[in-house]
Amino acid sequence: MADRKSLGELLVVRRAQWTLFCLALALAGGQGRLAAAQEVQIVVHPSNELTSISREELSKIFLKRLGTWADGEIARPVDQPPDAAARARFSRLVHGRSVVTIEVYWRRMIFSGRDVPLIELQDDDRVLEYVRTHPGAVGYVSASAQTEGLRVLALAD
Amino acid sequence: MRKGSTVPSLARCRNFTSALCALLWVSGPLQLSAEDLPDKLRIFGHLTQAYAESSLGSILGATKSGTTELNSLAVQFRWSISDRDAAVIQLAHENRSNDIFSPIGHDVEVDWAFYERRIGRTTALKVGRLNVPLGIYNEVLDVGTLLPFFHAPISFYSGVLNTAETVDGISISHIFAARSDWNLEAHAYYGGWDTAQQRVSSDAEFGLVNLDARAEDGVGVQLWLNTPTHGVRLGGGYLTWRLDGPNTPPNTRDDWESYHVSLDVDTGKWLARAEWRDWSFEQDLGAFLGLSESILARTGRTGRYCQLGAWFTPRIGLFGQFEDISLRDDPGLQPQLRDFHQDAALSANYRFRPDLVAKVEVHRSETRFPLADPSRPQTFGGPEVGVDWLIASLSVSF
Repeated sequence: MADRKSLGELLVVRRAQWTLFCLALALAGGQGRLAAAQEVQIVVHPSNELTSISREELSKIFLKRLGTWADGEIARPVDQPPDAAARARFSRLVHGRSVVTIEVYWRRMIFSGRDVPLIELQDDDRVLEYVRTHPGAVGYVSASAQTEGLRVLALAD
Repeated sequence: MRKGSTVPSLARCRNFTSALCALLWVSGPLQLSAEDLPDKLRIFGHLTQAYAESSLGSILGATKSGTTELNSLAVQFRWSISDRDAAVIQLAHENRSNDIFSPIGHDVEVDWAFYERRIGRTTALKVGRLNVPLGIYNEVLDVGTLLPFFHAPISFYSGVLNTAETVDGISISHIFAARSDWNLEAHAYYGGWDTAQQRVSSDAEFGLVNLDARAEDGVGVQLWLNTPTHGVRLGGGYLTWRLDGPNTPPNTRDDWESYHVSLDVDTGKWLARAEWRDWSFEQDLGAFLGLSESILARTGRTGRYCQLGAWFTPRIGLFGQFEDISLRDDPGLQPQLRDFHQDAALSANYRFRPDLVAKVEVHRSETRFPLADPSRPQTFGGPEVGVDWLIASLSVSF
């Protein structure tokens, strides 16, 4: 009986440890996502009236599965090169996939004759300049980039 | 893209291939960005070169002595006229050794030449020679960097025969509920295409000869239901056409139909795909079998495959595949032909970059393909034989 009780207690302790472990993992994951979000800023042309956008919708725009914003304006997303740190963060944060996987997606679009990849601009400054001068444009830049004159979108789940 | 009677100068095409191979190899990680080219013109291409060898006879291009006559290349020019208009031309060359499903055609040909107009947010109209959305792989049949195996499954895509890779016609595509987690991609197309029709011949190397034919009045639809889970979609489609060729009875035209369903799971890491396709057609089996009498029959076949695998690291992927072709019982063919071809395969992929992929794959086939056993009479419908074969290939795209 005593053995059975100690086994029960052991199970309770194990369950508590498992719960704590899962909670820690969830918090760590959430913090990681938060950190990633803080490391990249989503910028749009100042005429864009949005203040936030869902990851799903932003992903569709950057994969050209949505060609316009909700108000009908043509969306003009711009990418950064595959080896850019901001690209890797954006890809994980918004698409939930690696840059390589997204590159493979674009190869499929090209060779099925459906579409071509986004314009790639070499760095934050060029992205900011492009977004500033093109209505409907959207890009991403590192957290430290100066975004005066542009609208920065919050990401919603 | 390929026609039965086209056999131009091999030397010329080999030179062309070699030159482009060298160009692509030297180009390495060539990335043509908007800054390298005029804004509106973009150029893309892909190339695959393979070596294939079999344990017994010839099967799907693999030969007992080994062959490097398995390659394909394409160069695509896309001119974006405006935000909504584009013109696309793709030139392609393909060599499939002695694969009976892909009649020899070494020429450089116009693979696609179409004008595209985007209408509204999610609708596109294409006119010209355009690729056909049919199943998972039909639009990228020869793009080695996108395929887990050298061939797209023959049980479903059928080489060039009895299907449509491109049509000379028109297509329209639309995404319903594009902003929703669940959305539906719909494609419809109409047109005709050059193809071939096979006839049994004991004198022919393949046991079959390929004769020029023309498909007309092709009408097809393809639907994809995209799910909220990234990379998971369900598909289905239908294609019908009339075939005008040497086996077609006088004053009639073969009516063909094919249905298919698809499951596509591609998360970027995990891959699970399965497709099933059924064909039925009216044919003069007497003409097919080389008999003087006419035997009109509605007949058909079923093809299916499944693929499972994963990219275990960003560079290394392992994939397995099983496929099966079964012929429908009909009055002109022996019942034992029903189980015509089964193949189990494993493929190891090494991705140097997204645009440079090497593959080694091994296959075990139980098949009735005529050339699989060179010791038997080369006639259609011989006994089933077991053949082991392998393909090593290198694919690059830019």
